[in-house]
Amino acid sequence: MAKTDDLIDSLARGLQPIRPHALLRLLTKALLPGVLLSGAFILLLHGLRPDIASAMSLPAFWVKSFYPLALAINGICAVLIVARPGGLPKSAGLTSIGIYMLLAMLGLWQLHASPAMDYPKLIFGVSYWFCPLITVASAAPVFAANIWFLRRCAPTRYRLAGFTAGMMAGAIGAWTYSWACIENGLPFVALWYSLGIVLCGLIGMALGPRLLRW
Amino acid sequence: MMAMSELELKALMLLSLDGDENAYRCLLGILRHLLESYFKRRLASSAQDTDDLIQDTLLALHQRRITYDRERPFTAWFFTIARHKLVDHHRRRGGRSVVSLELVEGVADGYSEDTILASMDVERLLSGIPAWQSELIRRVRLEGRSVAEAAAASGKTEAMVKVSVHRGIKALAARLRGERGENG
Repeated sequence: MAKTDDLIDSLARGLQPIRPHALLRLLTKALLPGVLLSGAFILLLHGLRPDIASAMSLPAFWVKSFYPLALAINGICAVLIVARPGGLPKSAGLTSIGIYMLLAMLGLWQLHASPAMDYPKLIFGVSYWFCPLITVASAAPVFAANIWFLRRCAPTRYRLAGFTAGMMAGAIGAWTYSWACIENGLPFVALWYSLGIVLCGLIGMALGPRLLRW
Repeated sequence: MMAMSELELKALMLLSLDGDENAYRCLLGILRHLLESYFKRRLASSAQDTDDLIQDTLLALHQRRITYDRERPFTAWFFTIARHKLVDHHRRRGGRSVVSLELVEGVADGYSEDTILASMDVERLLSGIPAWQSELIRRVRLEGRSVAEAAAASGKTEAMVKVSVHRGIKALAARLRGERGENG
């Protein structure tokens, strides 16, 4: 009992105030270097796509970039929820399914509007096996940032928190890679980008209990 | 002794987040007692374990207070942390015993924080009036027995029971007003 008195005393002495929105500030502080590292990794080891100037006039390029960006923003909301005790990001989960459905519909529409001989290019491109792997690699610094953040928070469902952190990191990794990737097929994005992002989520889910216990 | 409602605890927490040392000391002092009853009810093991868990939980509150959302109820946040510490304790103790874990979850679900706080408030108030009177109030108002039953059990007439309960409640109300007044 006396030890509890001492503890209370030591906790109260020199109490530091917590600013409003401190949780969002902390996540921002973690994500900035994570995103920069991810961008640097793609720029230095892969480089921007050579036809970036002409690609930027293609709607497919922007859809390919906005899809992971939308997932990333939604993922940031979800990570802020799982960071709190008992947090369950239900609506963020539904939103990410909605974002995926939208992309899948655009992909089907693109297939519908293209001749059948283009299908292999739109679905598999030249880099389908490579895309999920580089997504995982460019997501790694962001994932580390998320774990750094969550270890200072109070996630109570370790697997869910790890999965959410992984999905969000995967989405940001896919977004940085979208500036380097030469594919223009939306079915390609729906399949291989998403596979990379989900892989990140599964890795996070597997590591969650080990990395996040408190 | 402070009255311990969600509103008051939350007010203390908000002051603490702004860096008010005294409010924080007061909050931790109250929470420590709440945790004692919370853990004792759920732990068959030693007082040492209860003490360790209380300290663990208070420390977690301190280190992770950034995750408290000022717009949300404080007790719900706090008892989720307490419950997390309890489940973690059982996981470490019981090893892989899934049964005991499920039991803990079930028990924890059955007692919402509000129920705990409300019943603690009532018990504390009842302890402030004569024992025979609080006994009658408990029987008639809390346990839901009839006046006739209470009268038979206590050897008083039904009219006396009715009057005693009525006066007792009035006394409680007066104490409650006085208490709020002192702290307000």
